[in-house]
Amino acid sequence: MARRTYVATTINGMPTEFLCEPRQSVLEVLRDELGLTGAKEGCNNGNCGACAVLLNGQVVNSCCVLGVELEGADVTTIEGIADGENLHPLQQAFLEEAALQCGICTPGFIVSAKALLDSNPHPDEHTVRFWLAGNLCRCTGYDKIVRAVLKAADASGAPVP
Amino acid sequence: MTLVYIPAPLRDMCGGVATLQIEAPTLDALLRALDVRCPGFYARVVEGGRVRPELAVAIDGEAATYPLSEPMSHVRDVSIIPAIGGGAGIEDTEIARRYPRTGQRRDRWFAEPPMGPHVLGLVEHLSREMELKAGTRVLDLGCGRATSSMFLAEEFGVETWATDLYAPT
Amino acid sequence: MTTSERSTNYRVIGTRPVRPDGVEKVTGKAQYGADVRLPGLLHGRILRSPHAHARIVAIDTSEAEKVPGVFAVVTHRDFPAARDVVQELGESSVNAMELSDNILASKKALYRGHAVAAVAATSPHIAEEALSKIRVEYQVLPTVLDVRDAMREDAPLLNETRFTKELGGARSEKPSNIASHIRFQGGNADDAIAGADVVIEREYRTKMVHQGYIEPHNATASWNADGTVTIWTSTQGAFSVRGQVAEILRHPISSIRVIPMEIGGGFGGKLPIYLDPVAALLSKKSGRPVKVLMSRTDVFEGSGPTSGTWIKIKLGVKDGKIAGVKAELAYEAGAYPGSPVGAGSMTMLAPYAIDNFQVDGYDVCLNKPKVAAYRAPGSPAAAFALEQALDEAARAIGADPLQFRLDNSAREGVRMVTGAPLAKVGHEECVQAILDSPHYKSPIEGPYRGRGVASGYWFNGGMQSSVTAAVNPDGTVNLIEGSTDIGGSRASLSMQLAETLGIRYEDVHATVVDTDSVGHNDVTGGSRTTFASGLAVYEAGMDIRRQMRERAAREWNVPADQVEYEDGRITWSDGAGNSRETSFAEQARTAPQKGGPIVGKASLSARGVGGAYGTHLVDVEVDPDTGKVTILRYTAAQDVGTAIHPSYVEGQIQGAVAQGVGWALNEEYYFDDNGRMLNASFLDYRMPTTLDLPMIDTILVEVPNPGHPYGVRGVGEVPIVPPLAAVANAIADATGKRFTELPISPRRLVEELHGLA
Ligand code: FES
Ligand code: FES
Repeated sequence: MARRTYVATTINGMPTEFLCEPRQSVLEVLRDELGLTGAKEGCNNGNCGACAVLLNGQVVNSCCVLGVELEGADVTTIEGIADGENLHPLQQAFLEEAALQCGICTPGFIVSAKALLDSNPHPDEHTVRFWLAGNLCRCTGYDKIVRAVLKAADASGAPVP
Repeated sequence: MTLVYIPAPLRDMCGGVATLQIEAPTLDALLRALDVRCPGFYARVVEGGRVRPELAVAIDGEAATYPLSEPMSHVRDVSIIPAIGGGAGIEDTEIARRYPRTGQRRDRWFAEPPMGPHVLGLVEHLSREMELKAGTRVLDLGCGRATSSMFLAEEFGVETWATDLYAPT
Repeated sequence: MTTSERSTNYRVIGTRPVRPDGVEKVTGKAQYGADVRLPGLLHGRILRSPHAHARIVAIDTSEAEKVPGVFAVVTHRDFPAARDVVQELGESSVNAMELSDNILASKKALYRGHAVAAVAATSPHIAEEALSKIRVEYQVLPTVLDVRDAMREDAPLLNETRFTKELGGARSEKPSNIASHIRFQGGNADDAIAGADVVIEREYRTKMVHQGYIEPHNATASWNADGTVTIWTSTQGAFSVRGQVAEILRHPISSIRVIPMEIGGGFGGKLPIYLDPVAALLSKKSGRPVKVLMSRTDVFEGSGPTSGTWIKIKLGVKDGKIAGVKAELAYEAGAYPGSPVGAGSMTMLAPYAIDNFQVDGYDVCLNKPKVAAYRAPGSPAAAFALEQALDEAARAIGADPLQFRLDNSAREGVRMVTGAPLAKVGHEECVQAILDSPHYKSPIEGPYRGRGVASGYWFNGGMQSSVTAAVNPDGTVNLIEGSTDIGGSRASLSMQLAETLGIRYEDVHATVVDTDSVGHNDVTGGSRTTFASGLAVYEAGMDIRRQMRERAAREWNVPADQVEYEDGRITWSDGAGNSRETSFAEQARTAPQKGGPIVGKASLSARGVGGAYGTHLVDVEVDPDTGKVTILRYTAAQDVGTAIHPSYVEGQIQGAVAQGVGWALNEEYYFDDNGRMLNASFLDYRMPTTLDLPMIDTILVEVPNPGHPYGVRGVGEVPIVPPLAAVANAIADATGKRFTELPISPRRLVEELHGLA
């Protein structure tokens, strides 16, 4: 077995340390080493977005980033999107709009959509569709997901430019 | 009176007709009544006390897993159809692989519910140890419906004498 | 846009509450199969055949067993001899010997990706390393990959002892890859077509496609020293997994407990099992719990997609009516028999009243994965063929395609090809709804733009369900059920119970429990759960109402049949001014003092299934230079019976349309000549993304199913039936070219439009 590397990072605001093999992806580290199973594996090669997390504020597919790259980084996973008991407006909108069926894609969509709204609080439909094209959902046909993101944008209270 | 819709592949058995009117108290009785009009029909549809798994029965338009005891008195309409569950193909049995003569049998003997080990399979197994040829005389004691005797007679041209206390009804 | 007409006044049904499992799913807490964590857990991986057809001469696992960290290796030799019995899986059935052979190949690998061995190790990476040390000696055999080729007499045989079975009991003289042939016949199709004004004759082909659920298959098993086994898995039916594992391992059913985890999509593909018995055996051998996961490539190559098909249609029209149809359907079954050709043959003509027909179906084995159910299995390809032929016929006689469908529509009492008469159904209503829609009334203009319509039918299923509803002292109810919730059935069942009891939706707490904790439930498949488990929920609610009425009657000393239950109120009056009243909440609170707990139960085999119809309308734009097809606008009308939770009904329709559009335009298993799938990843197996689709409008037509107290019909499957043909018809309208082969990919379009084919 390859030697494990010590990594110190921040996950969902908590200073976190772990040991990982050089070949382990962030997704593996989160799920297998740290017990954060909210990010899902749909393809393990960067094509479905179910594993999306925010790395220093940017969306990445965590299956395509190595665990050792988290040294000194700031990571947000689906488990860190809600503010304690208060759901994020995106989470609330997904519930109200029935934007999930099986829900396996939902963590990835919410994480990706959060990155969008953080940078562009009032996207139009096309912008939402363009942004989320890296996330696959096989259940919903995307209609309600796109509506939920647009609704969350409206609900966020951010000033309309 | 129930209108029974005969599936196309079984119409030959029924003189080519597509529908028959039958009056019967239960599904089982209905299929048996059909068997009288169309000999062999029952065994094509029923196996081991249930409708064959590759088939389904639709009663007044609804296909479901009905027991043979399903009451028929108020039923207007019955059709026998392939099971919807995709499984149009159910593989031939291990018996058919191991006992090719038995496997060739597509008539009611083969289709009848075997009690215990497969009767014809066992007979075929035995037949490999015996020198059976046309004219050989075979005594079949405790023959039941004498399926083994008929099988041996047809397959090997032997002369069979069969008897049983049990009289088939 | 969503339209729905509602004539009844339910209190809960028809509203859109948040689903019970919603918060866990949007916060990442919901536990799916791959999320299982247990002390001492080992990781299992599967070795798969690199050849599409090969005899397995020898398997040597000794080197793999020596890898540090490896705890167990299994092959087919570790399975007990399987019995030759057939097990029903709801929308498909399976023979135990074939199932066992598919899970781990015995003598032959029948397709590339066929599992041959498995390893359990302390990490997935070690397990993968060990797989590379297993030596399998193969004798490679010729492959057959095309359904028409496989039907030829000189085709390589997958199984030398397979003969073509006829429903009538006959079988072919010679062995064949055609496992079975079925025929439906009525009237005289040849004569009717001979006398027709217009005859359309075409051949159609569709490719093998995958359900594409985002969650790969998984199974975790823990085999205890006393022989009890616990299995955690993502499945459409925990009881079906239990039954299949018991059969494969020849283990008592009562010793196996299956815990259904949240499931990340199934669409029929998670009815069969692939990993569960392997995980169980690995656990038995290693003495530790073992989790086995498929990779995405494993899912494509080693699970069950749906059939590629070849369909030939000859159709005659006289005086605006479909005079007769002759059809031949050949469906790929994959490595073992059991394609959905029966269902395809039975549903093809179901939207129409046709007296003269002959439909022949062939179930064909070839060197591809064994197919599994996929949403209305068999029906979409059949509709792709028929609905295009109808489109051409309507054009030939100058009829409006929808009016033509309306004029020929099936209705109550019309016989299907099986001879079974239809109950109350809503095909005409769907066509009319599209005719009346703003979408159809809007013009479609511009070069390379076109419009298409198509209809479809699916049977829907009934089958067995069991539920328990326990009343709590605070007036809430725990609903214990055993149907996997894939798309909101906890919500739709809770709503039906709340409606029955006259309580708030929020006061029902639904849980899907394991196989030790509730009576038998068949799979979540066949669009049955909201219907059949809903029926059980209704019966359990009525059981609670009966118990409460009886208690009140005893207390008031009046006959129980004079006590009424309505909207959560329990009342008695003698019509002469004397009356009494109590309530559900009151009975719940006082139950401990007045006779003990109140628990409603129901177990049933559901009858009264209502089949479902849909009619779809789509506008497309084709880019003649790149071959890209843009879906401009899409409207789907469907007879949904009663929409319990309209949002999830719409969601089922929208999701199925997306799958259908993918099937029509891009998705296909692309094989090389040796049977290797060249596009076994989500990059190359191109499913629709957000950018490929517009909003999908739905029209919920409600023709209540007379067989259900709330009029429920299954809604999940039929909406994948029309899109293939609707899109093809729209492309024909846009380009003037008829595409009879799927997918209508950019490459095919460009080749066709520029004469490069
Ligand atoms: S699992 Fe990372 S993109 Fe699919
Ligand atoms: S909800 Fe199932 S994949 Fe998106």
